[in-house]
Amino acid sequence: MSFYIALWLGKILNIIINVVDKNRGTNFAGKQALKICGNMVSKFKDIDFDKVLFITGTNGKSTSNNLINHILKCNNKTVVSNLEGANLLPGVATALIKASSLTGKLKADYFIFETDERFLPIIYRQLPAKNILITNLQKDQVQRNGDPDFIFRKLKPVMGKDMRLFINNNEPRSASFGYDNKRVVTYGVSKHGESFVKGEDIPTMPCPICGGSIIFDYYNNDGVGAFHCADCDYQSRERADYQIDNVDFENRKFTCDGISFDMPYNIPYMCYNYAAALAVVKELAGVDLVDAAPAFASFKNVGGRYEVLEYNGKTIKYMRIKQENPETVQSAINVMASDETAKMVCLGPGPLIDIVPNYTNTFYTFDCDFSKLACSDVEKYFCFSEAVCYDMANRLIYAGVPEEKIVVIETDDVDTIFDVIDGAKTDNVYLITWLHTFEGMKKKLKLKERQ
Amino acid sequence: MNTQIRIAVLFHNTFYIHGDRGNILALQKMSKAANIPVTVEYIDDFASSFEPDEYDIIFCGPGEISCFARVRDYLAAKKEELKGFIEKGKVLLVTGTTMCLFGNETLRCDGSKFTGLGIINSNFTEREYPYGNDLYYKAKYNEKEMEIFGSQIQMMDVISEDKPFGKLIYGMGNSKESEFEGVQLNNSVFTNTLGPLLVLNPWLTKEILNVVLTNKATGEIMPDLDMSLELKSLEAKKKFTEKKQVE
Repeated sequence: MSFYIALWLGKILNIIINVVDKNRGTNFAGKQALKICGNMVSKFKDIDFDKVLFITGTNGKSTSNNLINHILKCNNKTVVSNLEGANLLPGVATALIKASSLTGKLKADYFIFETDERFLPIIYRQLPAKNILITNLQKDQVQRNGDPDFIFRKLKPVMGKDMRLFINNNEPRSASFGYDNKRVVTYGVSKHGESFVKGEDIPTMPCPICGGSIIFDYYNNDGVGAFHCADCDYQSRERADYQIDNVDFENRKFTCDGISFDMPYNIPYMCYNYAAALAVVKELAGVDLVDAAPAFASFKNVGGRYEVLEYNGKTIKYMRIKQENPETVQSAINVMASDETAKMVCLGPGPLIDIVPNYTNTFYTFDCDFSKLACSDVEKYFCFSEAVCYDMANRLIYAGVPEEKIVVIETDDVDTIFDVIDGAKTDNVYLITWLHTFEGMKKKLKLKERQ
Repeated sequence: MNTQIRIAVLFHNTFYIHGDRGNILALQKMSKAANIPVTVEYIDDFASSFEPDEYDIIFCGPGEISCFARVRDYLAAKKEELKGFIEKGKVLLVTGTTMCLFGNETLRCDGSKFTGLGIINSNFTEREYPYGNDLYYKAKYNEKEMEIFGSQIQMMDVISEDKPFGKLIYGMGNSKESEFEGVQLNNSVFTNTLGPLLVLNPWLTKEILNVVLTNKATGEIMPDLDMSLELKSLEAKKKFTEKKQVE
């Protein structure tokens, strides 16, 4: 009985939220419903677990979820999903509440949920999906997740023999889940024009099988590329089951199995999302690659990592990074470094304030290689934020940036940030800062426009 | 200066987390500023031998406990040499969770035990969840009192019989109950301080290099260097910490 009360409460809350504030609709109903029936997710009916997919990992969950949903819907499949990215149990519950009948019955071809990697076992206990897509397992939010092995150990018990795993052939840690599992589908990306190598002094990672050194023959993305272990036979397969080839960033095209695809976002890390999506839609839903291809042309990623702001004749390119996540920082650095035109670089990732205690960690920047950015055409660097701006400036100096090129102001004041940007000769501005600061800048511009 | 400093970095692909390669960059940067040549050797090959005494500084960065056994087995053959290295006053710097490798025993959350090298008289208990915070304490190194500021991502509690490295001002010490941070044996330091430690605290970096110069009996000492940026950082973060404590 408590399930039905929870379900109906959830449905009423969803209706109210839709009227009052749609932005709170991703989690709230599920959260409240779970207070009444803590295991309500396990009580929904008519879910074929063979048609349930969890998408987990450090980076790329939301984009992969969005793209898979998009391709399936373009191919007339019905999907229940948490597209807004609420990836804990309440988010999954909210999505199921929205989609179910008043008696808790669900009618969909597939159930695809982005799931937080740390909380996946909790969700799995109530919804034992038979399919998991693991994008990658990398350094991320250390205050919460510690080290990648901490997350690996959380996920390992869920990776049973009857689980079908979709794994990234080019990411050593997540690929190792397939080492002793027979039901594995691999995806990967061939070497391309943006592939790179790193110096010996920059650490790679330990082999998840023997503890030796993982050597990357090349990287397609930070921590992702063709690899082998220096000490045992663990290595990436020469070709994944779903391999993206002929990546042409300029013309925004790639191929998979000889079929040509449009590349909606011509950024290296997105290629793995494309490969993962193709693997899933074919293996899980039987959508042939030739039928998936048209969907790429119309794909729009919600909540991506890149946004543009026009201000006083200057184009401010906001590069969103994830907290304490060197891979997203490195991706942003690579994008800036590959821009051959003169630019200003504004670095304002401040103290980490999402978790208590707040703290001033910037060590993740030393997992990144700034040298190409330091060698590129940067007119001025601007380091700002409370407390950590000096450490950001120091990081740049360690990368070889001359001190006279760096302006350091301990501030989060949006007017001050805009003033410094105003002072740059170039109109090409890159900005890295936390989302709340950027939101403040957008709000300020909107107010100015109204005035 | 005519002296050359030799640094060994142990298994940097295994002990790869938290940006601690920055500690090597800090030693290189400061040595360069003082015109001291530095060589850095990466000891990564389990099949090759490693002679601690060939080096002035040995660095072992933070890693994951699941990867320690193989390195422990490799270093076990060099345990007495490593103890001698420390006793001679050379510098072994170990950061983060890798302290467990050099300790006695680590009790893991799943009930298993990891036996370390037993070079420091410390036992460890793995935490169920990591503890992350700023870490700020007073330390005395090479007879110099100093403030140290860094970050901590503490995966284990430390119970140690050895002399601590620092006395806590803010953050979590070796354990929740402890007012001390890390372990110091002679000039060797085993600490949970991340940051990287030697980037954020160049006054410590300078004294480590002074220790090396003293060990080499060249009569040289490190010159005064500009640390104004790091001092501004320290003051800003101290203020941030004070604000946290009030809130």
